[in-house]
Formats: sequence, structure tokens, C-alpha cells
Amino acid sequence: MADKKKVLLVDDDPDFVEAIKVIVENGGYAVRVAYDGAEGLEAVAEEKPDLIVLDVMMPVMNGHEACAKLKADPQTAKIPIILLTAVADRVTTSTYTHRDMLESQAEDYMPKPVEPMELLNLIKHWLK
Amino acid sequence: MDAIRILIVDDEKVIRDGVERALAGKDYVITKAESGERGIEMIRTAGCDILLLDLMMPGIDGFAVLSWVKENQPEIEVIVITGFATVSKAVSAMKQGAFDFVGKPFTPDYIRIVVGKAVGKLRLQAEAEQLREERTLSLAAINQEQSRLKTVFGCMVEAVIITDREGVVVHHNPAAINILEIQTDPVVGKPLAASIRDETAVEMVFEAIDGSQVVTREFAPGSISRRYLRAHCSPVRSSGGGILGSVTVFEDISTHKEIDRMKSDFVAMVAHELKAPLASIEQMIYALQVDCKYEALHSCNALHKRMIVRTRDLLQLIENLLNLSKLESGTVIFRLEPVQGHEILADIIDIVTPQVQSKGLKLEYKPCPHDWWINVDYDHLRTAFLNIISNAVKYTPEGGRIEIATSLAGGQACLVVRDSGIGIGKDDLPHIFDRFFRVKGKATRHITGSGLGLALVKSVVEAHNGYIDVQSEPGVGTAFSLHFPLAEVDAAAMEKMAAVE
Repeated sequence: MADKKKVLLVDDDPDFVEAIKVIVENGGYAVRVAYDGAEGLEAVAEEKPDLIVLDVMMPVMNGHEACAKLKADPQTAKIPIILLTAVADRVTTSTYTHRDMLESQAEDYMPKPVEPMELLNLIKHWLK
Repeated sequence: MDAIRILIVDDEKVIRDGVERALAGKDYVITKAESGERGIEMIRTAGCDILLLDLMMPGIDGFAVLSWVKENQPEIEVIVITGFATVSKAVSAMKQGAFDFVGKPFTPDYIRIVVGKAVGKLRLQAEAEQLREERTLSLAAINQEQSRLKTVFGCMVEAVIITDREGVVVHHNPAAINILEIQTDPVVGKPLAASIRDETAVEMVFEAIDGSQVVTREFAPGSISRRYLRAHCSPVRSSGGGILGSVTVFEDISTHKEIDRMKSDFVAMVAHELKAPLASIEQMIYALQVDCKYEALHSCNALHKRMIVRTRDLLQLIENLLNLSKLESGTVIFRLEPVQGHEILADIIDIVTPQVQSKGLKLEYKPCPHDWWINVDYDHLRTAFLNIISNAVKYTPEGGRIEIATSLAGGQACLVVRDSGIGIGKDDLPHIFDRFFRVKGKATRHITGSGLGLALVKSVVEAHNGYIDVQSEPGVGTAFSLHFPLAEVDAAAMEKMAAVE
């Protein structure tokens, strides 16, 4: 189906990516994957997605950085971004706090692990 | 003082018994001898404190006994017994050192008085002696105590500072200068604030003095000195109860703090390493809640397989962690036995062959032409070798090659595992034996591992007096070399082995 909306998934754990991919594909979306922030930006440049699901904790370029870059570029600023954050990361590492999430320009955020229906509802909401 | 021992030496039984009766009822131990010879013998064997001695005896007479006593046991008090007709003899006996004399016939009272006087003298002497001993002892003790305190004070690792009630330093030990990094000279006679430029430390001392209580504080590096210090400050009271000053002991707890920090870091790291795979597994379980039909079926099957792999990896990680902690705490007992190097390697090559074939790798084994033996714990060493060789398989892309070679030189066996794998970057190379270190990048993304394997290998190799070395170039390959001292297998055993083969 050519009219499927395109979702870009970015996370450094391949199994996690695969799991989210199954969920999102099952919701009727076309999914493309990338494994760190930099790769995510490359993928966006190649083919503009309709929505991005972006993990916060990643090597090379983390989710916050990637998000800020995308929002700073007028070409990509309009793409809705859902940030994924592990609750425990916020507790054990001082780098990511609740405030960071609020201050980021991402449209929404969700804690990991992601409950399938909640994620699909959120994607649906931002693609309206 | 023990009971006074009295010996009566007289050739007349009447006198002996009479004296004994007169002295009965007192706390004396009385023995009797019927002649001078017997008397001396009894003094020699049993000893006595007071000797009642008849001067006129057949055989050895009283004078001879007296002079023997004065020569050999001068501490015995001698009372001579003599007839009135021979008082002059008594006088010369006194001149020879007798304590007193009793003229015959005598009344029991008189005997008691004379003996009582001798006893009194003995008691006084004993008391004087005891006092003298005590005095000598306590003087020695005081001298010793002072030098002991000085030694303890000087040798103490902790810094000790003693101040008066105004906070002026009256004493400190050498460690104080060192630990507190004091640059003031002299320290003694100046307020504490002149030497320790940390207000809280000075406040602590006054808090102890004014509040008459022990105060404990910790000082982070940079406050008093570069070390992490813990201080206990106690007020010093006079016997009357007034505060005289303070004693503060500073303990260097930098090492404790460092170990504490390392422990926390390690726990955080372990928690993260355990959490990450679990989070992935949990997400995969969530994903499988969707309908696994039609086109999703293939992905669902893949997720199932990955969940099994990740769970197994997690278990392996915990296993490795336990092994490593056992190795590092030194509680592992290695059962050393001569192991044939070729045997252990052939076994491992069998294990990895299926993986090697499925990845289309070329594995070449170049054993040295001689049999070689190492004295090792078979299971631990097999795990270590397996770890190195499976790493080579894991990190070598399809179609690559792995070479396993052994050689002997200088009493050492050397195993080299060389692969044409992805290699390790210069920045990562120094860290590959660190716990939980994993090279992160595109090439390693789909390779799972605990990051503990090489840390374990290193521990095992070093526990066997061996060493491990690594050379690597990104994109070209990696070579691990493991060296072990060769076992000296005696010739007889070798022949026996050869015969069996």
C-alpha cells in the first residue's frame, strides 16, 4: 500500500527496535529503522518520515541532540517526534531528567517499555 | 606474709617440747631437731624464719650452727637458748649475730615475748622489702608508660592534635603535620586556626570544649588537606571535672571513600548491564501481544528466538559475574593437574566448528610438533581458551579466517589466536580487559556479549602464572596470545603416557 504513513524508529538495541517495529507495523505503518542519532538524521535526509520514535539513551548521538537538530531544521521541524525514555535511566543517570523531557521540543514522550496500544494511539494522535 | 616457720634445735626433749607448747596456738609452723647436724639439715631442706638454738649440744654445738646460719642463711633470726651459768656465751652468740637469747629455765611467757619480738622484726623487714619492691616497680612502670605513650603517639598513623581550652595547640604527633598538610612552624603554642585554615575544624574543637562532648566530623578533600579525613574530637577533663582542653584524632579515610565509590560505580554498572537486556526482553514480550498472523508471523518467530538468546545471555552474564567475583575474592580453588595442551585445544575446536562452518569461516590449527603440558585447572583453562576462540568466531565477518597456533619457547607455552575480524580501535584496546567494556559501533551492534569474558580470561590466565597479550588493527584483525609456564612432567609419566597412546 503506497499510502502507508512512514515511521522512523531510532534505538541502539536491535532487539528493542525489532520489537517496536512489529508493534508499529502491526498498526499499519511502514517502518524504517536506525541505530543511533546520527544514523537517524541520515535516514531523515534520505526519506522524510511522517513521524519519528526516538530513544533518548544512545551512543554516538543521543535522542535529545538528534531531536534538537531536527527541530532546528525548517525542513524537518514539522515532523512529530515521540521520545522514548527508560524510567530507570532518569533515576540512575543524572543526564536525563523529567525537566529535560519537558524542555525538549519533542511533541511527546513515553517511558520504556512501550505498551503497544498506547504507542499506536500516540502515533495515531500525532499523525492526524 | 606467710606463717612464720620456727625450728627448735635442742638435744633435750623436755626443752623442745616445752618451747613448742609455749608457742602453740600462735600462727607458727613449728619443727624440731635434736642435734646441730639435724638442725642444719632441716634448714637446708625445709628452711625456717626463726631458729631457737641451744648452745650446748653434743656433736656440732650451737655456735657452729649459728655461724653456719649467719654464713649461709643470714636472713634467719636466731634466738639462743642457754643456761644462766653461761650467760657470757649468750653474749658472744649475740655478738655473732644472734637476735636474742633465752636463759634456762624460762617461762613460756618469756619465750613468747622473745619470739614475738623476732616475728615483729621479720614482719617489719618483709613490709619494708615489699614497699621497696613496689616503689621500684612503679617507678619502672612510670618510665615505661611514658616512653610507651611517646612511641605509640609517634607511630600512630592518625593525626593527633591536643589543644588547651582556648584552642591553642599544646601537642601534636608527627602524623599530624603530614596528614593535615600543616605548613605552620611551629604548630605548638599557636591557636589551632593558625595551622588549620578550615573554620569547621576549628569550630569542631570549640564545640567539643564548650559542649563537653565528643564531636565527629568528616572533611572532604580540599577542606583541610587533599585527603578525605574523619575527625573525632573529645574534650579532656581534669579529675575535678573541669575542661582542660581537647584531643582530636584525624583519620585518613580516602581509601575507604575510594573503595566505596568503586563499589557504588560497580553496582550501578551491573544494574545497568542487567537492566538493558531485561528491558529489551520485556519489550519483545509486549510486541508479541500483537496478532502473529500473516506477514507478522515471520517477525514474531524472530522475536521469540531473540528473547531466548537475550535471556540466555543474561544468565551467562550473571554466571560470569559470579565467577569473576569468586576469582577476584580469591575463593576459587584451582585443582592443578598436568594437562596436555593439544587435547584441550582439539576439544575446543570441536565445539566451535559448527559456528565456524555456518559463518563460512576458515579455521586453521597449527599445533607445535611436540607434545606440551601445562599445570592448570582443566575446567577454568578450557573456559578461558573457549572464550578467546569464540570471540574470534564472533567478531570475524562471514568468509573470514581464524588461525590457532601453538609454540614452545623459554619454558613457556604460547597460544596465539589470530582472526581476520573487525579489529579493535586504538582507543578501545587498553580497555578490553575491563569489566563490562564492550566495543560499541556499527560492526558490533548485532553481536551480543556480557563484556565480562575477557576480564574473566585475564583473571584465569594470571591465576595460572601466565599472561595475555593482544594486538589488533581495525579492519585487519586481532591476535590474542596467551603464555603459560610449561609443566615439568617427569620422564616416567611421559613414557607411561606414550605407552598408553
